[in-house]
Amino acid sequence: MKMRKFPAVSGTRRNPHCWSNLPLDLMQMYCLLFNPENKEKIYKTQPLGVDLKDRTCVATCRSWLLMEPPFRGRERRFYIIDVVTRERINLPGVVIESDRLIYFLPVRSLRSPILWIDEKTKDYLVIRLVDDEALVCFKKGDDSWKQIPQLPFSCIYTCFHMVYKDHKLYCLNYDDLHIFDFSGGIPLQVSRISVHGYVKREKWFGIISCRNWGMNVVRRKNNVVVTVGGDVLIMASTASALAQSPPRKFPAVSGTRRNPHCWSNLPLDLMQMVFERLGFTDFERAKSVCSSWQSGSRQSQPKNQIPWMIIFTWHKNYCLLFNPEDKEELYKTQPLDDDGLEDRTCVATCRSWLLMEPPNGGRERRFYILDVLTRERINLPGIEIESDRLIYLLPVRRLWSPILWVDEKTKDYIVIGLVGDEALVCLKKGDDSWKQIPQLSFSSIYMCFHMVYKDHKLYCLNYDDLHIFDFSGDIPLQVSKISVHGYVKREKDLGIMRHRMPWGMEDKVVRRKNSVVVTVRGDVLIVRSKRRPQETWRFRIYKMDSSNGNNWEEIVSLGDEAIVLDLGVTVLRTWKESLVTPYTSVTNVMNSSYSISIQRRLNNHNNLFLRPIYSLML
Amino acid sequence: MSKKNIVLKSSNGIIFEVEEAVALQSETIPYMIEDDCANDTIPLANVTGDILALVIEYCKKHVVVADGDGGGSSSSSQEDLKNWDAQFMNDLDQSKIFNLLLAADFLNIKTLFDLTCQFVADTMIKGKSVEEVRRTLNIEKDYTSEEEAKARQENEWAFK
Repeated sequence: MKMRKFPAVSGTRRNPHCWSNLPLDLMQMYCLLFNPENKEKIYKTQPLGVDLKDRTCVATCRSWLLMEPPFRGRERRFYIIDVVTRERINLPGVVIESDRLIYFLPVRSLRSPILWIDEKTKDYLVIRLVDDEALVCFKKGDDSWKQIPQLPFSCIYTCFHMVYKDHKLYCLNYDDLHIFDFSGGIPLQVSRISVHGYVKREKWFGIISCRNWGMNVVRRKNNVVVTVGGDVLIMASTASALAQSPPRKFPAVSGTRRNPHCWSNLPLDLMQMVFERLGFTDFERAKSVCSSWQSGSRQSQPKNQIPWMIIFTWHKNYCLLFNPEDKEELYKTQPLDDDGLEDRTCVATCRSWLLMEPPNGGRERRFYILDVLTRERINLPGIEIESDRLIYLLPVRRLWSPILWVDEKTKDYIVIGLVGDEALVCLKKGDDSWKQIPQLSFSSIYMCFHMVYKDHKLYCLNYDDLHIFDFSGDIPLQVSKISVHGYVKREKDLGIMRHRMPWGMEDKVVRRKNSVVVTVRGDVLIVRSKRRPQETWRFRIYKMDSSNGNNWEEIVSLGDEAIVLDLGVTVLRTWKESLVTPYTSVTNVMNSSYSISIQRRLNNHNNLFLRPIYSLML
Repeated sequence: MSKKNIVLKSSNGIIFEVEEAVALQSETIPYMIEDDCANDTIPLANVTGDILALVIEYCKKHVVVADGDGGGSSSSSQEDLKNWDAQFMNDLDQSKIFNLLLAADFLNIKTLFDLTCQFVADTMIKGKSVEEVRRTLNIEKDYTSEEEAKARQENEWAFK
């Protein structure tokens, strides 16, 4: 739909609504006018001349249209026409010279054309770009088009959108918004405002030669808009809206003007495409190469297909990082804690963040979270709770089934844990104390032995049911309760996992008979260990079938996913087969003994001072 | 049906005439034809002749394979093509690779773009220290030493 602005034709009366000029009916040589106030009615203009049919309307100003000459044939002149009065003004042909190019033929096609006509005096002005070489303009009274040398090349270079309002011309390119004053005899540059970071490069250049093909306007990513009040806006349409649109033209970057190849000047979007093909370590290093790479890296993410593993060392205050892609390489973190990590226990992780529990004895009673890569540390308040059934006289030092979640971008975090099996407590970023969550009824957390948090949902598994809570709002809400009767096997040891580090984890994960796992695709699984692992570790896996009344259905293959059991999630199994093969042969069902397999692998590598391996950085 | 040819003109005025199927691997060119911003010749203001020659070489190679056995090319020819791609990239100097990346992006030839990006990532950045990357790509360090130290501190673990 071509929605061109088309204000009232009726003299000076205020016209709150814009009319739209319906598609030119080319064969009929007239236009249709639509006034939104007049719901059903469409007005037809008088015939507008036989040569309308092979012309394209490229700009409008109220009822005036700027018509481009046809692509072929002799006619090379533009004209402007008033669709209401049928007044027509022919413009001369355009012949320009440029430093770089000589246009032998009269220019027939406009870039970013602008038409402005004074309502009273009928003074008019036509401005346009010829390719991205020259800006030309034609005023009433001129006998030929004038190049405007006052507008330096740099302002119009890659300019993709121009707006003319109140004698000011606004030119937007990827670097700056240039504003020129046209009220005097000679255009003057009034200001130049950097738009860096607000305008996104796009492939398709976005210069609009033919407004008539309304889709181009919609497709253009970045627009400059001048409001009624005179404010200047930049409107950048979001990627999602453009996802379906076809490729865009891209500004000339090579050529003679810039350094023919300078890798630090690689356009941002291309830089991101390269960065996204780097692994985590290379990506981190690439950030430090130069400042433009650093800013480029902020908007991309490394391709981290293989989960990393954090390895805790004993009596040392650093961790080791293991990337299965980097075969032999172990990276050492910076020293993590002046107090030493050894009397602390890491009880949960989220990517590179650890949740650290206070030591058993001593005065210290507070938890903290720590990023092993940046060493950023956030102290959490002590936990004091009341319960109907028990009074905790001492501050709580232990959380059962603890959960840590940290938002990658905003660093919003949430810590959830059970105190005994009495109360579920939770701390969000911004809270000054831990909150009990009364909405989570006692029955749902009673005997709960495994919790997983993913996509703002908390999954609590006990012997009877799987409870799912939604944490996206202020107050957690129970979303569903699904019976797991018959799919979960009772075991003697309750199986609540607490000490993941530095000791005991290996046994605990392995020992827990029943686990809940949420897959990459959002499916919910129950994973039941069939017997104590020796050389082979057998499982049965049940998938929740939401299309079938949330029944559980046994599955025998995980496809391209692998389960990371201690985190209760799956990862896409994109790493090289050879890495996993010795361990996937464990059973024909499981591709999922990933954590175990890596652990064994590592132990073979490095049996020196490693404590049980703890977690994966996803 | 006779094969239709398309005429492409590089920014420095070099004319290439290619079969339509070759040119149409670019998703941008159909738009230019549609837009009629060219009469008979399609001017590519962003691509110089030497780079356009490379692009056409790549497209010619890939178009032949694409309609080889009615679409389903055998695995050996796929393998050949992969080797050809690798050789093609290996023969280029850095400036060519840089401009090829820009051209592949502008012309929107997805496979060539992916190939070039991956090549840049794999051969120029992967496994190299920051200093090596700077040296390889001839990038000047534009940090002050304090800024660099600060940037490094955040990712100290990644540096060996």
